[in-house]
Amino acid sequence: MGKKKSVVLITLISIVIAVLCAITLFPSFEVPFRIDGTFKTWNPVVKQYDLSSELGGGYYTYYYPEGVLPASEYNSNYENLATQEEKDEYADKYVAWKGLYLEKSETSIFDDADTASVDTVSQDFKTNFAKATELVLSRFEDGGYSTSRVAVVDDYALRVELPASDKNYATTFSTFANVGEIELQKGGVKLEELEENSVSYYVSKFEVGEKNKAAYVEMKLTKEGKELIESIKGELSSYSGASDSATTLDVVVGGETILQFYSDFISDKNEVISAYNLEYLDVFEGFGVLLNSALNDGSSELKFKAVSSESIRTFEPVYGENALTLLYIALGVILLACIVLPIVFYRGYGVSSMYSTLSYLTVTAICFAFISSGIFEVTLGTVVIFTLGLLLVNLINARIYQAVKAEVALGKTVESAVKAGYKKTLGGIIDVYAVALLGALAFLIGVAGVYTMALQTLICVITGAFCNLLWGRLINFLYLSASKDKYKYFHFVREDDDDE
Amino acid sequence: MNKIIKKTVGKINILSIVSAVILVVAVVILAIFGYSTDAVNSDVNTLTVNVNQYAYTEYAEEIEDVCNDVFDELDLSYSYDMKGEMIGDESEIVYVFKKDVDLKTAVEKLNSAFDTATANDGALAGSIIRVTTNSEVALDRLPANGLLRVVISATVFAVLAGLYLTVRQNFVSGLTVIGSMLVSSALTCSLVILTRLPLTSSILYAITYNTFFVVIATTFSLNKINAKSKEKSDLGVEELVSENVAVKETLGFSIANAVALVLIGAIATSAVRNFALVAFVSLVAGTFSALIFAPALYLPLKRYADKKQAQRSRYDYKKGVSENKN
Repeated sequence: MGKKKSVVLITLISIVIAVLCAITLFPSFEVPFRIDGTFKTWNPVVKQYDLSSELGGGYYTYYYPEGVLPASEYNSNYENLATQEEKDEYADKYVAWKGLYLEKSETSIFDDADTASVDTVSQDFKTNFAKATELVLSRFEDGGYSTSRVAVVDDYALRVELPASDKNYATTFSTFANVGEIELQKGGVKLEELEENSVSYYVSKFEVGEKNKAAYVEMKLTKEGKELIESIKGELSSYSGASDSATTLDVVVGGETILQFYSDFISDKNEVISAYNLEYLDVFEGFGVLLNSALNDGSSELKFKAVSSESIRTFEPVYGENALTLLYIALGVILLACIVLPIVFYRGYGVSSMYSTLSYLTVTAICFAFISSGIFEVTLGTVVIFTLGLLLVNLINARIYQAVKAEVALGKTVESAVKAGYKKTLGGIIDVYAVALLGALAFLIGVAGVYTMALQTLICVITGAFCNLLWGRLINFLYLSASKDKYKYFHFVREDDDDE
Repeated sequence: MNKIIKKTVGKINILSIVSAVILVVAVVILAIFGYSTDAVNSDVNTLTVNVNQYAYTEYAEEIEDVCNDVFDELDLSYSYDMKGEMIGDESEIVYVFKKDVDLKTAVEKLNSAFDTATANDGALAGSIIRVTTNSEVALDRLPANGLLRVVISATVFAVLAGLYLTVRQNFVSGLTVIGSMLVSSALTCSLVILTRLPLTSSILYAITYNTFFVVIATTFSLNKINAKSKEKSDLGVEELVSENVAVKETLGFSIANAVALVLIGAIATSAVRNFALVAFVSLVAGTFSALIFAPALYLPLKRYADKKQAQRSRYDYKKGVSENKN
């Protein structure tokens, strides 16, 4: 390729990379003109990530069983009463236990209100609370969050946390608090068949997914389930033109209707599927966790109080609001070292190496932010795997440089040394990226944060391989074509220079 | 480094024993003392300051000052705090203390301080502030399901990497990368337990990171050894291995990663620091495994494979009949 063409191409590529870097890193600012009639704020890609709670904070709330009150609420109610007589009467209704108050008249907690004390909390309540805790815990684990937390507060309440990345946190909190029994109802009445067999006899699982740009929930049926559906589907109303009095097949948990199926949701093969707008996929994934948990893990007779949106607290990253900023500073220093050191040691080749580094940065950063905001949650795992990939790209560039240098030392011209150097290192580079790719695929077996980390590793590996095997070579070729002194470009010393 | 490699190449028995001893000691320590957790994943006592929305908006800093003064007076230090902002009428500040900290006096003193401050002529007039304490038992400290999946993933990765290198190079390379990775992962877990670093779900990230590092570093060495064995077939096996371990690449990669982790740990906050430390430990184990253990394992495997190859090349070789019987 001619020098002029090389210079033009390098200029174009530099402009594209500069623009991508600006999109990725340029700090936030208020746009000084209106867009669609409103003033907007510019945010770089790195500010648009869904963050795990360790980096971005999150939400928490409390699950209180019926009849259990936090001390703050009890105190507030107590203080708001006008007379001492009313206050004494109110106080007499409760038993204090650590930071909670237990209502004496609540039959699920005490067998007899007259003898109620901290020592007479019924065994049934304790057993039901333990079962409810187990159900809630398994749901938060199955929810696939990189970070979540469930803690028992003063023996008879729960505190649950979700990362800030869960945009449907209020629905999730409410859904997971439902620990009641699952049942199938037709027209609001429990199916007679469930008197003999449990729901799991007819339903094997609930599957939630995405197909043809829509979210769907499929009730997977057993052989007996299909026979049951066959027998009742003629009695169900059709969705088109359905009214409030329509007869539907309802999936109910703890008395709350979760799903409704109309006759036209059932195929000829008795497959029961309902489709929804894709924007509700996250909500239905939460329902899927609830339904499968209710189907497989059973239920508890305990009932938690409804979680109102007012009772949900937001919290900053628990170890400081600056955690993310400090992390970005650390990554910035690493990035700067990956750009400056190759230029210092390898001169022109270091400059072409910088293009690989910046391309890796922009492609991975943009992919993490935009491929799927529901999947790519940035965690500490993301940070190390990004760094590992960044260093690998630079290490391989250094390895290629050493291989070219060794060829030049054998007396070859720079052009043939570059060719031979790339050829000799090609197999090794492919091996390294191939095993890394296999690793990324293997870790897709992982759950929650590790699954996300595996997807991010896939992006890092593919981007790294592209930068080292194709992109870096192209840039190096362009720079080499444009350079006047190819030895100077590589920071090599000519043999004849030594002689002089 | 080359001298160390020359001395340790072939000493697979000693290295295996050392690794096994570290693993056994870690298992014993784990059985006796359990594992340590960070504040987020531990049982804790909390002190919650409920504040009405007006006071939270106007006086949040002053309220925190009152709390900090009382904590200083009683010589109490909290692990972390959470400012729980709510949409409704109230917000709260939750101070999280270790499980064994008694907060009774602190609550009394704070209630007394806030009673004075929220009086009509007080500094926080108009505020409604209540202080309560709770105990919390953390569940889900290290999700068993998550750990199991990571172990399965790492095993699948080892097998896939082994198969790939077996196809690309030979069976010996395949077995070496599997052995190297398993030792590295086991050592990472053992060292984290022995150094009493808090074991949180971030250990899963560290194990994942470790497996990638060790497989990449081992692949560098195996590539170099394999390429050299094709280039110079007259080299002795011991010489071939000890002189062709990718020391520069592995150490360079390891040092660059270590510097990055130290930087992340040094600049970032304590939770990130703990994670960086765990990742650093996994890096040390990975470097040992790729640089020392893998060559030591490769040598006897290669000798055994060459011996078998030589046997198969004999004109009187019969499958299933040992050399001694012949």
